[in-house]
Amino acid sequence: MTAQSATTAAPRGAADRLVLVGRFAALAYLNFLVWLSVWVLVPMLALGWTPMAVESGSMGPVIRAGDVVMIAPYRGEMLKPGKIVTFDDPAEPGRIVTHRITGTGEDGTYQTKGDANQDADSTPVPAENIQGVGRLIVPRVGLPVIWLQQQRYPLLAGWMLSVLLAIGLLAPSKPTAQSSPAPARPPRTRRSRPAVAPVARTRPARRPRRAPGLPLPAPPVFALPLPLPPAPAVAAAAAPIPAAPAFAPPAPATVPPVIYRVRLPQPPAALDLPAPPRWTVSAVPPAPGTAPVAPIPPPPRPAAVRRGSALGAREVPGWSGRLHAILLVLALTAGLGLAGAVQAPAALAAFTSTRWSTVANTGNAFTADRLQPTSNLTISAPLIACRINIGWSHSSSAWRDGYRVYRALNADSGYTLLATLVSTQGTYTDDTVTSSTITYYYRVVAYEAVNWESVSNEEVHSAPSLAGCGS
Amino acid sequence: MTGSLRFQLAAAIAGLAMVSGLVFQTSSAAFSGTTTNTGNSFAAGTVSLTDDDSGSAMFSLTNLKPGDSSTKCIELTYTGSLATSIKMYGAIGGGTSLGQYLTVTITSGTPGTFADCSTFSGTQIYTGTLANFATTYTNWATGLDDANWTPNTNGQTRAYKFVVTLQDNNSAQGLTATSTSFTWEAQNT
Repeated sequence: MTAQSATTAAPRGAADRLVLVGRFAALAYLNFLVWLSVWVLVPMLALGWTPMAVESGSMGPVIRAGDVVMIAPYRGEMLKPGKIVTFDDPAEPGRIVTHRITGTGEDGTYQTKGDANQDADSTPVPAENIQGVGRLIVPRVGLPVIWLQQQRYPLLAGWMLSVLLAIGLLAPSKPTAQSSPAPARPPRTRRSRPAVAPVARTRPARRPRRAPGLPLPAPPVFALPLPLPPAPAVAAAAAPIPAAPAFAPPAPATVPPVIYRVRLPQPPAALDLPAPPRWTVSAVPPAPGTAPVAPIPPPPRPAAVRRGSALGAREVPGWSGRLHAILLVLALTAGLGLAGAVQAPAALAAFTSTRWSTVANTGNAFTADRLQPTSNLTISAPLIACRINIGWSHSSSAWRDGYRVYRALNADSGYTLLATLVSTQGTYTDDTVTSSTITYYYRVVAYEAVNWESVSNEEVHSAPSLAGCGS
Repeated sequence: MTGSLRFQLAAAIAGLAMVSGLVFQTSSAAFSGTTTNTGNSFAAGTVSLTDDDSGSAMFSLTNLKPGDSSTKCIELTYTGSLATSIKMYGAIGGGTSLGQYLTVTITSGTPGTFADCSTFSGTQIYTGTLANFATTYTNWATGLDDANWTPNTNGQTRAYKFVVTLQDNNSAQGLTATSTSFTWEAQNT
């Protein structure tokens, strides 16, 4: 409520310098953003390269999370170690990995490794898994995509906000001193227009376009050299407003507000920001007893002012608003649009580089034992008829469970188990011989557990009519 | 106004130059072909597994007889910072196919060390022949997933108990399986 007018020029000078610095930063930031985007979009559109946003740091330090690698389609050529390739992870189908080739296998596969990984990737990459060869790295520009994919929305929102803020900072002539009471609602008729000429209103505003809370778009500056006309001194359409309630119902105009034109300190040459705002408008109610310097005129076409809005002071001419919208769209496509562009070709596959580590217990060896055979197999006919005695030397496998005696009627086949003996037994008498005219064949093996038997490399047989126990 | 325009042009060109420089610098660093992190400065997030075998094999078994069994534990320590999952796989490097007659039972649990398995308890994750293990689980892609252990912070440990038993099969006599390895791999998830 205090009259500020020209007396505030000095403090505002400092503030404005701050604003200028902010604008410069915003300009630089958006400039940076746009050119980074161009580096992604141009190779993509002109050369058919695919942007891939890197999700993890396994290729650090040269490729960091958030960098975008532009990959050229792989045409099946032989790749040398050192190339960075993007491939379908053979270890985990569906996962896209970008690593460096460190070697080739004789079967046509490639060994790959993340620069930041201690070990090479454990699974060799077949050539058919390779999707493309890295050609260009655009730093950091993929961060929004990564945030989106990782659902780190606060970061994403913060980034978008910073873009919007940068755009907002570049907005022209932000009225800064608005400390007067609720603005008078401009009269709706031209008849009430006072004779005093309004302050430099160049042309009637068409439709003020502005988002509440966002400073109206500035004549767009960033990166693109847009020829801008001299910024029209923005006329305060209505009146100063109290800071807070932007949409408070306007109070009836009681005192015509006063408008002062305050010339901002000329920015230093280096900070010579384009176009707009070297003007700011401040309006204060006339101090009691003082004559208004320049009574504000009602706007020529007050209907254009958003109803109920007290922000009329920030109207800008329509063309500028349009330009502004274009710029806003440009900036958003440079950011979000780019995000989409990066995301789409990557087929939504998270671009993951993997860190891994192995540990192994190696050199394990297992050797099974072998049952040693019996030896010195002998046969003799005892004095008792119809019996045959067999003897052998023990197997050297002391761990045997025992011996098994087999008998057959042929030399090499048809053996059947005749007896199972304990491991200490070295002789056996076959008392089931039924004929002296038959030749019996015997084998003796050592056995262990159930199924293990020593080989039977010896066999003995009875001589015909050996026993003489019948024919 | 012309000065302003010139400034804008200059700013745009400067921006282009700066960004292009950045792009080329980054790219040339990455694509110079031989860059493989010579400084050993590995990035912050790490995955690292170690074990307590001090380079010794768990099993060096000779003269196995049918039914012979050997039990060994090994303790793994995760020293990384990323959340990981663990898979196991194996290989039999040589020998004469004894693997098909060796039954292996692997249990994941705690506590247990390479030296002492006495108080171990855990969940069995594999039982079958050694040959089957080594041919089924050959690398990360085909590996045996141990869902019981998904280390994510430094210093977490896990013990694995192996019981190897020779089957009572006469064909196993005198066979060998050498250079057999059991590998654990951790990958960040």
